[in-house]
Amino acid sequence: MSGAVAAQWLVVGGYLFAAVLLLFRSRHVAVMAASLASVVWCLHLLIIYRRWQEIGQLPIVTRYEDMTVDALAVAGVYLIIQWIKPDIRLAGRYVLPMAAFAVGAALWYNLGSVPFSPALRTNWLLIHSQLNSLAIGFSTLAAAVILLPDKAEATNKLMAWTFFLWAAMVATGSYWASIAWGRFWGWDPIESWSLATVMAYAFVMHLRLRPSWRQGSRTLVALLPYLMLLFTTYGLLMIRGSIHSQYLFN
Amino acid sequence: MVSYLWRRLASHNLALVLIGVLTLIIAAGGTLPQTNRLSPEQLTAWLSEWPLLSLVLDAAGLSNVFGSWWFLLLVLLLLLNMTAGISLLTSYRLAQYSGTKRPQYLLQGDGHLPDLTTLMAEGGSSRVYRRGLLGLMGIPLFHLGLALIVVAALWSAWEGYGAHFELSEGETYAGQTERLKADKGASHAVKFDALLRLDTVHVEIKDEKYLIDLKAKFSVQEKGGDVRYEVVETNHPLAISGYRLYPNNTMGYSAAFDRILPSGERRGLFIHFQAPPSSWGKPYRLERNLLFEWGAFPLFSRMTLSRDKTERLALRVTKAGKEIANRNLEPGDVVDLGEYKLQFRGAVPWLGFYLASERPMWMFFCAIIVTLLGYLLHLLIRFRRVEVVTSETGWEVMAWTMRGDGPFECRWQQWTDQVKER
Repeated sequence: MSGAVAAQWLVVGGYLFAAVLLLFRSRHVAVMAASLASVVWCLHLLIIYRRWQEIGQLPIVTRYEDMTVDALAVAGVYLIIQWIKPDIRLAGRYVLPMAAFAVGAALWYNLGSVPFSPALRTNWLLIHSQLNSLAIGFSTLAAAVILLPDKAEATNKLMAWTFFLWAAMVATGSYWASIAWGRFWGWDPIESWSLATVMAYAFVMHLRLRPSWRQGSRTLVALLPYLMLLFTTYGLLMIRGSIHSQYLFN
Repeated sequence: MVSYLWRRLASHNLALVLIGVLTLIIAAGGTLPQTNRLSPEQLTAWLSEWPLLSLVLDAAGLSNVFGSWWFLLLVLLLLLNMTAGISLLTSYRLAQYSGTKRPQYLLQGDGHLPDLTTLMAEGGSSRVYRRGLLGLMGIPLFHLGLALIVVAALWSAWEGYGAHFELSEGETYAGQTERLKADKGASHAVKFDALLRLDTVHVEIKDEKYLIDLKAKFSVQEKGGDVRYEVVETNHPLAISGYRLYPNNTMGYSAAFDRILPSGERRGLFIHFQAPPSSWGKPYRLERNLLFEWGAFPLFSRMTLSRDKTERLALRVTKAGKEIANRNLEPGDVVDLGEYKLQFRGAVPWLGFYLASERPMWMFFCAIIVTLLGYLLHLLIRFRRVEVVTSETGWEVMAWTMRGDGPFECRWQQWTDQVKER
């Protein structure tokens, strides 16, 4: 087992241990868990930095790299927001295992690197992919906060930011497509599902404006856009071909 | 009546239904095979492998969702719903700003006006304290941007044009429409008034399979002007004669000929053979069948272009079922096809390009900026209006805020508690 893989398993273990600590009701233990997760996050960041140095390009081309970076965003968004708003700290019970799962699952993919194709040699790759990772981070936290009691306002805010970041990701992707391929929209499966995810978030946010909305009884509906977002990012390319897959995740 | 209809059209329920239905339809269209997006081979395979399912999807209108009339109808309805919604929401928000709507918060009392410091932490002391107009207009702006995106997309579907074509090294394109394989909006192309000569092709492959660099160097002459030199690569399209030219990442080798007519006149001819990037720079053997329709009778040809140490072309031509040529050609060799001769000049690379004219694109991206900016204003700036009315008999404090303004709600609660304790 290489040093990088061992470090990655250490990150998995660290996030899971911090999540277990969050199951205790003590506030001090929760702070300890968040501190531990923050230290593990720094190691996670270091793994990505080393990979970047090693391959000499942004590590977001292969599925292994993509999932490791997304997990960094998931854990990072949670850690930053829980330090600012400690009342959502317990969301780490769900967020940290998700990040650990992504880091561990990434290791099942080919760990080799792939050089950038000409289409990826642009700053739009950095902007587009980081908006995607941030949207995944915010959406995971929003989905976790939905499961906590009496957090309607925090849920609304996190969903609103997810909506904005995902929509901005789609918009920058559209602009990039216009300069790389000559068309800003092509109803490709990835494009269609990205738009459907934006609309699913819009649907739930409109639904939440209604007086009849009750937090507890409609949790599953609120989680639907998140499931769509995960499917668009990780599942769709398993069942459908896409123009986007010729550059990424091969 | 018109006002009533407008309000019905702006209904939140209608918006919910349309957004929900469109979400499901777009997800279905992104999952199920869309026949207009399949290549002829993929379409044949889909129809033969799934005969019943393909029939059912076709009957349900799900085999070409994004080109269907009912999808367009739903999008137009959403556009109307948004337009009506924006007008009502904007007037509502302006009424909030000017305080002509019923306030969300109201507290009345008699005697002296209580201290407002807790309520207006920003230090407002005037009778009307207002902030965050931009935040108030964020959501109307966001919806306006969305409506403009829909309009730009409809305009693009109507007027946008795109077509694929292939060009060999040394070949010139002068706007011949028969060479274009239209991909979008065939009837609205603007005139291509330029000469485009592909001078050199640069392809770089890493580890024998990854395409890492692709450049096409062109000599360009527009409207009979000076010749200029341009490089086209992915993410750096060439603007030319109202179009933009993009490499489409298809490539291969061409058999280059001189077609010698009975008059002695020579005309260049390039026959393209597709080759995957992974085969670039290596020995190759590429096959192609082609029908020539130059004379009274079409000629059917089978060609094999190969390169080991030298380039070779195996050419077999039949006319009305009768073989008229069967030769192995090397560069410089001539084959007589009866009405004309072909001289094989060798093999040169070709690249595939996408020629597009998208005038609505600027509107589309301006609308996207308006949309994102509007939403960002909504997220970052909170509108608040607090008005104080005093009279001889007492006082009244009213407040207008945006929905879900938790911090103000806390502050109001704190202040009202203080006032009640007094």
